[in-house]
Amino acid sequence: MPQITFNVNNNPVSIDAENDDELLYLLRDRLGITGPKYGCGVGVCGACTIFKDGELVRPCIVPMEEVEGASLTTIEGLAVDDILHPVQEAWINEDVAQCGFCQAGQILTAVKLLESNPNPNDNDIDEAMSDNICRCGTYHRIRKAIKHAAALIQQTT
Amino acid sequence: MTKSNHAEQIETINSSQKHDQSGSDDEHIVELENTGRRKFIGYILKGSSFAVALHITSGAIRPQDANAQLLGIPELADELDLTDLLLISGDPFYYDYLIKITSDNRVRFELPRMEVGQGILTAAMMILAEELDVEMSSIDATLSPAEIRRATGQITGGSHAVTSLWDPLRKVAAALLYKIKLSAAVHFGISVNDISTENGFAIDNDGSRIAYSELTAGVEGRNDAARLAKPKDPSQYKIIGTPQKRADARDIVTGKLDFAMDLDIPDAMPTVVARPPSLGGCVITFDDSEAIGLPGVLAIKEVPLDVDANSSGVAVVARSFGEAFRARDALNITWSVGAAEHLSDAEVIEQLRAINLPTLPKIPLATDSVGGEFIFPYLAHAPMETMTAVADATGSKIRVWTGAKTPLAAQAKIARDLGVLPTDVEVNVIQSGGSFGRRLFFDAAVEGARISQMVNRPIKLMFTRQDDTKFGRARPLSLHNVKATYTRGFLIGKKVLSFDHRAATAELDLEHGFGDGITALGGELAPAAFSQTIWHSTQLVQYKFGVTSLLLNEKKFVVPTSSWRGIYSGTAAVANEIVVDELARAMNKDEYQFRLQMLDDERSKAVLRKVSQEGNWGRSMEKGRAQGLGLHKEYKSRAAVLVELQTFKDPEKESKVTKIVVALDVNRVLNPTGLEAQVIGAATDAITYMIRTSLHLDNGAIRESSYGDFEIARMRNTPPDIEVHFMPPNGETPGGAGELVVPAAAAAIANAFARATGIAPRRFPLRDFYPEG
Repeated sequence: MPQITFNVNNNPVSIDAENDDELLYLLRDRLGITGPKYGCGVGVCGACTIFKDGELVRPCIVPMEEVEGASLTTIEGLAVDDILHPVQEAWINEDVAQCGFCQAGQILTAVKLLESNPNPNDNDIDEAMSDNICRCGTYHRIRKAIKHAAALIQQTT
Repeated sequence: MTKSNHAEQIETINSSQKHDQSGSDDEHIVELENTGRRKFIGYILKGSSFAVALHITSGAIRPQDANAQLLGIPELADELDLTDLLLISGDPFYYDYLIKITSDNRVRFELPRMEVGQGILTAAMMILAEELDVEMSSIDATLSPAEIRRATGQITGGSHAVTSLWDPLRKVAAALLYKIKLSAAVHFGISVNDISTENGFAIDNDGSRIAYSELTAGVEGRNDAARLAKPKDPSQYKIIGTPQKRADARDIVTGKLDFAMDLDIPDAMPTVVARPPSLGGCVITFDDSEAIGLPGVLAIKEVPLDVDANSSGVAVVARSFGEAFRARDALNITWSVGAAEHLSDAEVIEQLRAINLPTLPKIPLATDSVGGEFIFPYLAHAPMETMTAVADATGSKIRVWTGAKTPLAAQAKIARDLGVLPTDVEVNVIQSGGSFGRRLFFDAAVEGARISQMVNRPIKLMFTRQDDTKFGRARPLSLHNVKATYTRGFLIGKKVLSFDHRAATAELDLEHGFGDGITALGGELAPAAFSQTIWHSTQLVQYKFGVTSLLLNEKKFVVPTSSWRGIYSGTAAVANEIVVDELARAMNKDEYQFRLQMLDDERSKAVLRKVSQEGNWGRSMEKGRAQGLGLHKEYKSRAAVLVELQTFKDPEKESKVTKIVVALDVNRVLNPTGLEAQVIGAATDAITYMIRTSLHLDNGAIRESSYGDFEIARMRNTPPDIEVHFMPPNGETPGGAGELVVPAAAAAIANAFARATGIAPRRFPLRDFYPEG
């Protein structure tokens, strides 16, 4: 039986690849990593967003064979030894979440934005974040939290 | 007349008096008099068993001298509203909480409400922490499972959650605190009056401390004696009224908060249902020979119609959802055609037009009227988490884990569907990824329990996004005829004489009743009567517009429905506020000044003044841009919204809300940060359904399938410039707020659109019907 091997949140995984599952279902249903959520299954909402080798991907549309040898980070792996990432801190400080279902994807997308643009303006934020849906309408606080996180990151560097 | 289909309704309009006695609106005074010359108008409508009789006085239309009283008709909702009905029905069961003090001196609390992102869990913890003198962080709060003894006291909907917790939770906690103080008094051998409490400790007057856990185990169950307890005086509040972040914020940002599909229920396997191509289609035959051998597939079985003849399909159970999807797609199913294969939006609209009640006949004097026909489309709730349930019906006890706002109705329905007693069904209520009205129903729980029983294994049932959009419930399509009549006023100035609203909507399913099995059954037996109750307990006109009458008629269609944030107000009250603007302009008044003059409610005037000041109403704006106002009064609260809107001649570009200013009077703000989040979310909802998107019924099926074509507002569609202002405390009990801002913001958007473009908005979403505006 074919096996695939990859790394998720710094843990090595080796699992049979007989079923061609999309990565999301492999993570959630077979590895019990439930931070990435099913929101649409077709890559339009962003609720399942994770990092694959440092790039944002939507695992609901990533075939599992594409992760052979890859290094994945889900929301569960963003904090290091219980030290929250500044984006997570800012999300708490600005009290962003309502239902919380989309926020793992929002947070990881914001992390990526701040890596490439440490001081984004409203237009930059609109551009980077508009592919992630929040049905509760937390966009206003997401904007504030991204700016807050940008300031936190600048303080520490 | 068949009583089971339509409740007979007699609306009597008589010359009673609106409440406001301010007398500041002399020029609009109209007198209703001479009721002896009543003109009786009766309508018996062809094709409908719905009858209405209106009494109107001919004197109603004759302007009198300036000292006469302005008369209007209070709506039921002015006197007794849905919040009252929910509180009255729930009150006998409210003084029943589980508040345990654990051995490590923490507080274990179960909330008999549903958390869907609206923050009620945090709000309840604030009340408890305040009254019990403990830290928020020392409370471990979860949601109560369905408990039959709670009857009508366990529903989350209609924006009454905070209002309904306010007295009961404060008093139960206050009674527990008094009990703790009494025990401490015995322990220290001093008077109870000399005991103080702080952060989970009772303190002697010499400073000695004893933990609550040494003094009490807490309370559980009915506690009606607590009705007499005296909660803290508001001047003592340290937590209530202060901004408190969501209690689960850290779990959310670290991915630790478990939703139903994240729970680790032993052996519960992913399950998906193949559903028909059109609404109401049923399985005739199916062939699973290609699907059954696919990797991971555990079971494939037809799901027959449930006890209410819903949700036929073929269930696939597999090791992962991906495997289940692939097997579902490999099934070969022959479907019967749905019951309404040729039905589309246009025909629904025609049928609703045919059942809509007429507005008052033209008044035969020098009068004019404004208004027209408004149409609001079917609308998906589209919560981020689709309908989900874990179900285990393999043993004698049927157990489900699901996000239910009416868990007792869910329990009753599952029991009825499977032919067992409600006491044999355990419904565990799991925090969910949004609701917006969708989770008043529990479709996945009912379907999940039957599938689990059929395949004889625990399952995790998930509606796909496509299932949720195409087969999920929707806000009913609705048609509203709104007409306001005024005198031309050559000599005496223009005066408003009447305001009529006739709504014909696709039937709103209210089978959930007041959340329990008993009233849910009532809702099933007499749905039209229950709809009328909800309509008349929520709809009112808060302006001195003379004779007002607001009537509803409904007709059932194939699209399943559920209340959408705001229930009827999300459409009806919006149409009213659009006509208020049109009335102002017809009478050559500024829309703000006109409202201020005509409002019969001081709290509404205050929030209106606030948004006008903070939003700089009337400032000059470039062409294509405008401000708009909207008000709403419901849930014992008031909201005013001012938006600024930019419109574009380019049909490729949709109107953009560039600024939102909200003023809110909820009597007392419990958690400002939570409330502000609700307000901004509600305003965002208004952008979604007024400007951007809707569902379409095409030949018996919903056209849309996901967020790609049901295009709810995204970051770029919402403005960075949002202000939310709370009015100073204005009463003891907090009013409701979860839905309050939806109609006000929606109306403000439509009114800004009309002022920017000169187009009278009648159909929504605006970008579909007025692409060049």
